[in-house]
Amino acid sequence: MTQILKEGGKTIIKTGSRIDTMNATQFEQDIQPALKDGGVDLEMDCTDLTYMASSGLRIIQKTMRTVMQLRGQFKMTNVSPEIYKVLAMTGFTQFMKVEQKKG
Amino acid sequence: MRKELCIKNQMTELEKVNQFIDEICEELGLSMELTMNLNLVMEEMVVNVISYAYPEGSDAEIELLAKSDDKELTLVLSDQGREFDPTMKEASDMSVNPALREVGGMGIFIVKNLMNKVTYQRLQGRNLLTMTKNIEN
Repeated sequence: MTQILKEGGKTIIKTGSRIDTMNATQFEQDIQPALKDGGVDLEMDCTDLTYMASSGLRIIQKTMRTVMQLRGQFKMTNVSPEIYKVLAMTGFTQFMKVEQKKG
Repeated sequence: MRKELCIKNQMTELEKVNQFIDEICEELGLSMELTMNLNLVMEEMVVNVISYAYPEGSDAEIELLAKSDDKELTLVLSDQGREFDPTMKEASDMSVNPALREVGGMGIFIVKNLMNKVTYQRLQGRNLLTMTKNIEN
């Protein structure tokens, strides 16, 4: 389940374990408040994320676009090495900050 | 190893596809990473068939076949929908900032990247998509 946490001026979106075709629309709806309300400094915490399909990548793409229009910041943190490879393959790591899980 | 699965052309069937791939990967002793990648590949391609091969609301079946020897795992996706070759679908240019390019166009690109071989055939009114992955250690 997606959680939205506020930390000072920053908004942290904590993802669930999967963003796939079945739950991508729900995830997109869940993160909308974070994009409206002070969502200029956004962190997507992927600690629990073990699987992401292209439907998830599309939402990250749209989020990047919105944040760019708002002249804000958006980064992904605690990304697993497997998901990082998919993000690198599709060009995301070159254009946004993606931090891998430590340890 | 040889395993088959028949599903309906509905998104809710993806869970069965996921289980099917997990079972195969477990049986073959494949790594977590490869298991995730094969699940990703299968989800992308099954979603494609459900979305494009059949008119919305129609009832149809999609067949999945997995077979392997020591060297290769072959996944075959077969349906009787309209002719549709996903390998011809144009992928986005991944060197362009994702925020600036058209949304999507990543599924088939990922599949081609993660698999060693992806081929499409139209045979006796069926779409046949064959994807091969080298599993030799």
